[in-house]
Amino acid sequence: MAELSVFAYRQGNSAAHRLDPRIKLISISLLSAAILAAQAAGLFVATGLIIGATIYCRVSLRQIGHELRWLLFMLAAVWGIRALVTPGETLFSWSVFSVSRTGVLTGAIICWRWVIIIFLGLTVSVTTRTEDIRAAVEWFLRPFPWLSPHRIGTMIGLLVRFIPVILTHAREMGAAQRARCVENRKNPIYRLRVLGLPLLRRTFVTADHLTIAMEARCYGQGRTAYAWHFGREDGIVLVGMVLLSSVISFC
Amino acid sequence: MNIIEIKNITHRFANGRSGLNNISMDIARGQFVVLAGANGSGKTTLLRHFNGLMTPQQGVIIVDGVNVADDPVRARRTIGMVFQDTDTQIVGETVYDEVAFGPENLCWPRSVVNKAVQTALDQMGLVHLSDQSPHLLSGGERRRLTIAGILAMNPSVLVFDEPFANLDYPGVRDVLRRIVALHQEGHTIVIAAHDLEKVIAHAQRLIILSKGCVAADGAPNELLPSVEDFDIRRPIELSFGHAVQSWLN
Ligand SMILES: Nc1ncnc2c1ncn2[C@@H]1O[C@H](COP(=O)(O)OP(=O)(O)O)[C@@H](O)[C@H]1O
Ligand SMILES: [Mg+2]
Repeated sequence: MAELSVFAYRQGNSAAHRLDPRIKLISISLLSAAILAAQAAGLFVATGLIIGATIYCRVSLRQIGHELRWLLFMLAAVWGIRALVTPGETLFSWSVFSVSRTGVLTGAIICWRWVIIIFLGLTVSVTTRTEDIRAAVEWFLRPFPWLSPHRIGTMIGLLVRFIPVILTHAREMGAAQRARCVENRKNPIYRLRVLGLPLLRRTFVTADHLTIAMEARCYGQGRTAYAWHFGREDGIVLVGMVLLSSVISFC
Repeated sequence: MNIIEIKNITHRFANGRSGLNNISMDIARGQFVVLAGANGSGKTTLLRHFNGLMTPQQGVIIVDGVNVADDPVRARRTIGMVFQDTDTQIVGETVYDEVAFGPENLCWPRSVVNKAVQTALDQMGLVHLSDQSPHLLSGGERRRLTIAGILAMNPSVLVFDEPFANLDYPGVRDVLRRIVALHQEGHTIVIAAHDLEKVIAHAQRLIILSKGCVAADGAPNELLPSVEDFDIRRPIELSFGHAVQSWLN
């Protein structure tokens, strides 16, 4: 079956695992907002914390780099474009291109923020079961019954559950096609068609089987309520996160 | 008393193809039934009628005295169904969540759900894997997980669609041993299979489907000599004049 990604939940019993998932969602929302507003000093504080959290979660940096290589590449491109298009004191120039000092700095800050936010998401996703995230999202959506929180919750759960399955299908099909020398065909449109269409068809079949299997197990409107356990630590963490977010965003 | 009664059902697919043709059968409570037939003979289609996942154009299905069309949810609680493909029926992120899915859908109180999950995991020998991700289980363990997922809902009939597909020899024996134990505990068992050798030694009744019709229905010993007429391989022991051997010995 599917391989697990760095973002997949890891079993454990740390304080981060035990924290109420609603508090985790509030915390990452607050911290993300603070980080997006923060300047260099705040970002230093946040970086220190996130390095600590990543070590605490024991995630392999090399695997993260490998899985997020396209995202990192995109961030680098954002930085480059920022550096080129922002007017200001010129650092160096080459023919029509000139790199400005403010461009390099603002670009760096933007990318830095996003990297911290990605790691923040990572620390939550490796310590929280999808089931808990799903329940927390459902809980926050409860005041908006017209959004049918229950269905949205199920959709989130299934999405997380099935992304690895679809990726595995894609990898298997790709391997089978390479075994028949698809690489000799240079036309990318052709390659996309022979891989994309069967994959899409298989994904629909998977979805169809899944629906039937869920129906056979009486999936309907109601479900047993999620067992919340909001404790003292959760309250302390919540207050701590509010303070921390204000520190990060104002310094 | 019959737990499942099927009266003259006919199913035609949306594209006009005929799936089932005037099928009737009664399955007694506690019976161990093997439903055999070549690929495409209609086994899966028939099983999906048992609990209202598909509806016939003609005929009725009665489960435990109630018409399935009137109360499909009741039929789904009475009949637990294990599908052929494990990948597409496991919805939980952990073994525990997967088994809890059914009981939670029945809105049982949390404590009852926990108890049902523990019992089902224990019966399938999965307690030690409770927090594991289903991705990381072996083929046999994953098959057992799908069985635990329906056992937790406490059904009286267990229906298996090709339960031995993609299993190695130890996997087949492991799953078979647990199915036989469930039968001894009093569950009614229906197994759909395209080959008989793995399971027929334990069956009390053999029903053969061919092109959407019941081609034969009776005691395994009587039907086995002629199964090759319906594109099903005859277990090899019969050619040497022996009785079929259980895979558990
Ligand atoms: N949704 C469908 N639409 C049209 N034909 C179908 C559909 N599902 C199955 N069939 C056809 O019905 C026949 C019986 O299928 P099935 O019950 O899956 O057979 P079995 O499980 O015995 O292999 C096959 O010929 C199959 O191609
Ligand atoms: Mg089938």
